[in-house]
Amino acid sequence: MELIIFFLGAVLTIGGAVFLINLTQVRQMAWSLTISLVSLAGLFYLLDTPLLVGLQLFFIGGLLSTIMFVALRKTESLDDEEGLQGSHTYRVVCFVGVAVFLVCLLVVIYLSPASAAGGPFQSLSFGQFVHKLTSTSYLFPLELLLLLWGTVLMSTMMFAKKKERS
Amino acid sequence: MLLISFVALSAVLFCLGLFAVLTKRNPILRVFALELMMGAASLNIVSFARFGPFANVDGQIFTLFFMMLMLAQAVVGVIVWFILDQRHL
Repeated sequence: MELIIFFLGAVLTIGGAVFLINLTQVRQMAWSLTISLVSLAGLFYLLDTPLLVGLQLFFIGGLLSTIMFVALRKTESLDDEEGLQGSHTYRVVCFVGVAVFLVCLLVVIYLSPASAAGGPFQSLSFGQFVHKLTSTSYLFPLELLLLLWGTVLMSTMMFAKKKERS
Repeated sequence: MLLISFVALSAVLFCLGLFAVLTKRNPILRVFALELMMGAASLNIVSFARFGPFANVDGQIFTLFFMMLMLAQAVVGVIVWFILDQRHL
């Protein structure tokens, strides 16, 4: 079973990469990259790292929402020029993508070894669980990095807005 | 599963990304290819942390930081795409 999952993940990862190289439209390239990264998350699950699987899917969700935003913007501009009516479809696709992402996250949380084997988090309440999860020695630098990343993101958005005005 | 299978897969993925970075001119495709290369590197790190002679969680922690880097890089790439798009209009 592990061998089948590994070969499936490997074929999807490498196939997505090959399609990413060969395709020319940015939207199709984004979907190829998404397939490749989802397969990479499957390989992480095979390596018994469910936290990385969740984070990889979370990362793909962020990337996918960003790319969907760009695709929506592009589609609306195409609608203005060529009279197509695809923007509503892409909004529906966005909604379905976010829903699928949420279901994947819930499945990963349900299938994680800590919850299946009755690990150390099972007897804790939700508040204690969040406190234990966010106050470990290695997650604290990650939270600092996330704050730094948020600052960079906000400043780049402000910078882009200023450029747009000029 | 053996360590060599994961390492070989990550090597193939890394080479594909490197080929795309070296041969393509589209900046968005380069950003995507860099994502592939970083994904291959993180797979390598995690597989060594799982199967290597000194198996521990350090590889997973390093991969967490790697993922944050990948996300920030993707956002910067999309902003570069916006700026290039505005210049072409």
